[in-house]
Amino acid sequence: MKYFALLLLASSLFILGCEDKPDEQPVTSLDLIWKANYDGETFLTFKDYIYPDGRKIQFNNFNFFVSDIALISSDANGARTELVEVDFVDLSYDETQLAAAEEGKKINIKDLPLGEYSGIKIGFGVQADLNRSKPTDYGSGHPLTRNFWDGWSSYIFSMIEGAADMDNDGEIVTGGADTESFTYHSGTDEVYNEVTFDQEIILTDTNAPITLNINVAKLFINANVNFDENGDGYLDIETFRGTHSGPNGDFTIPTTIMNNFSSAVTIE
Amino acid sequence: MSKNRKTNNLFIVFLILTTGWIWCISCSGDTPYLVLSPSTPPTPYELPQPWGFGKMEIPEDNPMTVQGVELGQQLFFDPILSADSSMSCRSCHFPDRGFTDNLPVSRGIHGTSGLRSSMSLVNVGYMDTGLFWDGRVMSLEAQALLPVADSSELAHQWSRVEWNLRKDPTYRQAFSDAFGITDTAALTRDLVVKAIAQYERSLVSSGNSRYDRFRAGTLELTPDEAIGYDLFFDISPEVKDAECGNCHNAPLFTTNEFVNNGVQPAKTLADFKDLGRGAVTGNRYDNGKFRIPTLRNITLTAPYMHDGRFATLEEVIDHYNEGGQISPNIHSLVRPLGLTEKEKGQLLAFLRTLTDEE
Repeated sequence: MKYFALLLLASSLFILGCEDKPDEQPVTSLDLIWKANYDGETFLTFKDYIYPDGRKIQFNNFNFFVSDIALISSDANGARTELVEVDFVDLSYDETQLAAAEEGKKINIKDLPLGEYSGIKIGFGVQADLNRSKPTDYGSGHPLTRNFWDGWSSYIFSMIEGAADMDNDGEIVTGGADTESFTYHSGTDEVYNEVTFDQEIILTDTNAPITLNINVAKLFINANVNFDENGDGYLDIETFRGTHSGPNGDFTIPTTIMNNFSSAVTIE
Repeated sequence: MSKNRKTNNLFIVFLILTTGWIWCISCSGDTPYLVLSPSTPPTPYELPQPWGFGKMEIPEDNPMTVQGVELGQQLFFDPILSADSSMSCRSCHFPDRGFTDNLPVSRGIHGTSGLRSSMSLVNVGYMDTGLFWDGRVMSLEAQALLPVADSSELAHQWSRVEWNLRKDPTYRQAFSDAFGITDTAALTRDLVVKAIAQYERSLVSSGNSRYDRFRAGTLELTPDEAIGYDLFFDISPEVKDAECGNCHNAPLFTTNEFVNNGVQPAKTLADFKDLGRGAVTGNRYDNGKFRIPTLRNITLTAPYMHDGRFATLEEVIDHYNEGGQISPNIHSLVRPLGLTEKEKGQLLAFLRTLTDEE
């Protein structure tokens, strides 16, 4: 009986040992690369560009949050493959950082299943659940340790700051009584913008990147006549030099800017 | 009798040799390698975490202990760290002055003036973007190494500091208790700065300022303080936005970033008198930028800015209300605010709520 039990155990081990292992699904990694341009030119801070109304404009800060980035499967159920819960994208590179600006901000995602996808979903801003947290909830290095506005109890979803030749005298004045600066800060749940970009994406084992190009000029497209006094289809930055959305504030400009990410971003 | 004499002679020879050996090692400049024994294992230090504050990140190689914090405090206040034993860390960081010295720029042991104002140490353990006005060092341990050897500060030599501490039986025991070292050769500058860093991390806001109690719901602000709070954080559209909270966000009242807040006029990026952050990064677009200081206990830390140019908070508010000085990379939010005298007073009333009451 004892020998029989031992034989049974040995046979079982042999059979289990020879059993085919379940197929491991092949995986790959993916680089999401964020780049900024101004109507096709590499976007750099402190560089002069021309605003649609003809005046000189320069930027000194451009950053934003993205949340819940996912690939949408090509199959019938359109299943989502989550890529990024939240990240902070700062594209404020100056001329000494041209190479970094051209390279862009890279987010590497590992262990993605190979396959075909029909699009990519991106939330511009901080999704509502996370927007209830605060920087002090996180350790250093986490994307959500910065750009929180205590007065709104919200992260600042996007910051666009700079200055323009408001008085059309050919010079941009920064600082002092006649400063020509502008500041557009957008935040609070109301202006969160979730966009699905239809784009065929095939993930193979060659780790091809997805590049997301943002045309900063397009963030100023404005269909609201109240903020477009000269009627050129763009935000009138001379009259409306700044916005803080705020829980009780006017959401028109912040909503417009956050919605404009949909048309400002192109995917390669 | 002769046997006793022989014994006595041997004893005398032994005494002479022993004394001579001790004399030799004490005069040789080498360290007497005396065996130490920690009295008890160090006790973990429970760091207070005021309401709304996050968890401070403590380096794995320097966990806080009661003994370490006490030793750090002793060192912080001890002039043994200066070349002529006239100054200590406290000489530029007085606890009752918000851990500053109330001078435009700090002075060293020979009366030599430094370049910048001493920064508050309250909540310094939360500063994770670099220390000093220009962020040139990343850790409190690395920071504490510098003033001791700086000729315009404590102007000492670390080797002499180590020697003096090793000679002192009280310090020997305290280092043994704090770090478990068992021989004095292990009492090095690395442990000195670790202890000081532990003490500095313990300098956390009391959490009992009027602002903290207001946020905790146990106190109501006066009407002027409340409007100042609104001005500061841009809460309601009916009240102007003084743009303060963008850089001085709660709960630390600093974002720990580096900005040009328009205190130095500069026609070009090369024209700043003090390059600040730019001298550290080598990027000219960082010229004129300095670390945003905390506003906690701001009423105690005059004069203000990196060079102490403003004697009062009223002058600081006027500076921002007028839009700062012209310079190429000034922060966009430094622009004329249009605050009335009454609103400036209300903003000041709110700033006064940030003072710890213990």
